Amino acid sequence: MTWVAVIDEDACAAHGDCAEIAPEVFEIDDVARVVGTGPEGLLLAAAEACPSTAIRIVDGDSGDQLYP
Amino acid sequence: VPDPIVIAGGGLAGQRAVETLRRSGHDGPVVMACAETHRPYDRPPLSKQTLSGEDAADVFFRAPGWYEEHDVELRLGVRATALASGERRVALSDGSRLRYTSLLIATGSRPRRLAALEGHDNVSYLRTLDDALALRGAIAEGRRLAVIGAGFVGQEVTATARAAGAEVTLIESAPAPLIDVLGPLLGGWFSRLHVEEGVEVLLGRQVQRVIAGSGGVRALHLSDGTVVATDHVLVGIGVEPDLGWLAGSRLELNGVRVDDCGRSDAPDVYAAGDAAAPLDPVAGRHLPGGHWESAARQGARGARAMLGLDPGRTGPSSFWTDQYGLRVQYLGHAPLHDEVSIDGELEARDFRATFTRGGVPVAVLLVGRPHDLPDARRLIAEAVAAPAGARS
Repeated sequence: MTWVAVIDEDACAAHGDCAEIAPEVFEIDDVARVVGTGPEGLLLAAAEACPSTAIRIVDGDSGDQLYP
Repeated sequence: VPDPIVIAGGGLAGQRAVETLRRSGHDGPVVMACAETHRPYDRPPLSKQTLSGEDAADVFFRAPGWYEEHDVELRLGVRATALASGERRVALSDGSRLRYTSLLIATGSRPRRLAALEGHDNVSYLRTLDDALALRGAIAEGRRLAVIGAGFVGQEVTATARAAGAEVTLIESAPAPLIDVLGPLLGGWFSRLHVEEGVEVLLGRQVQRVIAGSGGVRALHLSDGTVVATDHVLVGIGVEPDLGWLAGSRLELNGVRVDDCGRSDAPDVYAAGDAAAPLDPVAGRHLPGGHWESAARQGARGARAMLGLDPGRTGPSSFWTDQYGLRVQYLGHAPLHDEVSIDGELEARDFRATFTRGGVPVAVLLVGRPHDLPDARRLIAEAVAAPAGARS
């Protein structure tokens, strides 16, 4: 199972919390960009920290949305 | 050398504008005048992480060298003092008068002050990093803190101080916190939240008299006769735009009216953040004082508009507050509502409140339900997009 982070660019205000929690996964440009991958717990922690709830976590195999 | 783009203000909106200018390839001169002596930093952590003792260095947007690397002339401790928009000149407190190609007014807001509490060392306001560091020393296990005003700053400081073991009294002149925005049901919920966490919440009362001795304020005498003994006082009764320097220009001093891209009525003068009064899509009129997300977006959009670039799409901005480990999110313009419906459990701190007017959603408040925000955003965006006739 591979979890994938997806940014909702309309919702993202580039708070930067995700990049702080998981710098190997997220980078902040004018919005957050997904630049890598990481352990499942780390992806979920970053998504849950987002004050704009702009990060979706998707199961890369099944396509199921795991968060939010 | 061409005239610079001048950013008046060193907060979030100004920082985002500068970042967007450089990222968009603008290579002309940029001057940023920051009233504070610190380089630009983020304010939301001040009432939470910074106040609870985390490293103050974490609040800065960028490392000290970033501004030089990006050829941004940062003038610290320098504020804008006057605008002559006909001559395209802005005067700064360092004595310079700069001719600008574009100007961004991003001078933010300042706390409203309480006259009765002036002149005492143990009275704090919370707006700046220095304010947070000063207040941090007053918050400790067993120390008494009186918080005047149950807006978001007052509530966050209350929660942070409680977590540190302080004895907190929260004083609010209205019958419930945030009642003008959220109404009595949700205002009452916020009040109970603090009571359940061991805060003494005193509503519908104002400070009538200050009892002071050596070391400052010792007690507050409230309008109903209650006396609140305290070691320190935090005043959080709202903010007002810091726009006195625009007196003499034709721009509004209570929030510069701007269009969707941050353009004011004066040529090549833009405004963003707390200094701006953009058109609120839900309220349908210009409203001053937005929140973090709107300031971030306005700064970036203003910069793109200065460069003649497409500012991009815009949707309703959300607001968040963290208290007692609980995330609260808000979207829309609740003062319009005539009805509120609750999905979930108020007592369990897990619910969604939908505010409607004539059956049309105008705002959503989420408590402990961050996963509902995308849906809430869609709901409000659709209501705004509906023909105006459908909104009463």
